[in-house]
Amino acid sequence: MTATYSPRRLGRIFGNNVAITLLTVLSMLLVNTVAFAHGPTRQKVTETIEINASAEAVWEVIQNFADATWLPMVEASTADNDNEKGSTRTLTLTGGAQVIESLKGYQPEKMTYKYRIPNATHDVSVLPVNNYSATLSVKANGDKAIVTWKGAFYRGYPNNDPPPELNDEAAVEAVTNLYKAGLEGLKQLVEGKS
Amino acid sequence: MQPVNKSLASSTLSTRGFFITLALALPITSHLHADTLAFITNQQANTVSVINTTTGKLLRNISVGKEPAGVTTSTKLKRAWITTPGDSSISEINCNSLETGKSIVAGEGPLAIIVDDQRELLYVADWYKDVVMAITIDPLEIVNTVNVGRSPSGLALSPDNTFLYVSNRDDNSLSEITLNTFTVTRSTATQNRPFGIAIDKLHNRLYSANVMSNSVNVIDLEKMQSIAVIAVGDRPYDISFAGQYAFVSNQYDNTVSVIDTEALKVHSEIEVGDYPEGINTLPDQSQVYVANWFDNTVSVIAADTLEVVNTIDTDDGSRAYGDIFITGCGT
Repeated sequence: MTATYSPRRLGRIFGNNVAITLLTVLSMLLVNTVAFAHGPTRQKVTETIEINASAEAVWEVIQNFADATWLPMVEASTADNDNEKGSTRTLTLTGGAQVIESLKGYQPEKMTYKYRIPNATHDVSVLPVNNYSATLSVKANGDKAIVTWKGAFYRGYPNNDPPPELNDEAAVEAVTNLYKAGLEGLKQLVEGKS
Repeated sequence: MQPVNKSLASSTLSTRGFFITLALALPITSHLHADTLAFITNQQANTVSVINTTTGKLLRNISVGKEPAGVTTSTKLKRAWITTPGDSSISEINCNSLETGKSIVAGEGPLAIIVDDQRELLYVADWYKDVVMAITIDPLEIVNTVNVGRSPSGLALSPDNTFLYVSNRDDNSLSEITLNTFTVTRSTATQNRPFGIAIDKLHNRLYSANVMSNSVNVIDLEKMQSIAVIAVGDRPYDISFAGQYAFVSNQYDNTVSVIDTEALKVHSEIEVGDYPEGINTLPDQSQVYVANWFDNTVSVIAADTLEVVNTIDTDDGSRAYGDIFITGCGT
């Protein structure tokens, strides 16, 4: 199957009632199989950027897990428990879509934190990934800072024959683009060019 | 509802030019009979990294099938066998020449693999078909199949080669297969999603890494019953033993939990690379190798000081799931 399962497309092919039933079945399958999925291979992305500022100055901008508005695509950001492990933050993106992320580990002395996107509250149409985890860290390189963003995840469609927008390439591309844009935005913010 | 078709997704990963260049640039060092070699599967790179554990250096990367994951080795038969779930196959590597030999398509999702030196058979768990296959070595041929639980994930052989144990990830259970009859004779429950399993020979117990419970079940193999549950790190994956300790890789914590097998308590935690997966102890029990999937490295832990003494670069997506060491190969 190479076609997507967008409602409009399925509606054209099967008529709207059949399409809705199909969609319901598909979404049930998605929910029921995510935890068991192993067929797809886990993917990974690493992006780094050098920023003309001290590592401490960069860390100061990103250290508050609750506030992800340093990311260009994030309009609003709140968290329920600051920088405590398990704290859950809700990012509202430009256009209104939301991403919910949970803090997994926080090590200010190492200028790094890890977080996850819980599948249960994740919409793959916003970011086409499952079982997503990421690490953000800052290191000094002379008088400059190196920021590294690493992510590990499965594609958005956990079963066989993913539609193109939910396959491995789509997942890697979306995360790569997010990291590139996010790090470039951070660089401009810190270097005062925004 | 019908279960979802679990046949393997076709992968679209390609080996990256960078790694090809790297592999070609590596010096092909010879290895001696006294050396112990480690065979590390690299799922993203479609290669197996061979490490000389005497020098702690990479010998070479060998291209093997699609998405190599599981591995088993035989010092007696001088070979390693690799499962490649991406093309549903098993390939052998000759440890003298370090070249690939025969291969076979085996089921739909071959992942865990273990060699039975005595019977000269390979046992392979098929993640999708919920079976364990028995496969002859010369030639590679499936000769027997037994149904086990859902998504069989880990395999371990009893030290006397009487029993094969299987973790059934999606049934939260373990099965015991009696090898003479190749039938399931006993089973027992574990916590949530048992994956890697290994046998504590000192106490005749089996440990299962329960991925979704962040725990290890300790099973008394005489009674086939859990006698303890030990909390470990986040997303435990695989287990190995050295001396009185069990070493458990925690994928999401980038750590290895060290369990005191006498006290049945966590003794300490060791920081390793990102996404540690397959974990193995050198035959002389001196070191523990753990493959770091994200970092493309192996962390080498000294079994006595419990410190990381070396980090070896491998290839993209190291998993090393199974037994990885062979001694006595050479050219």
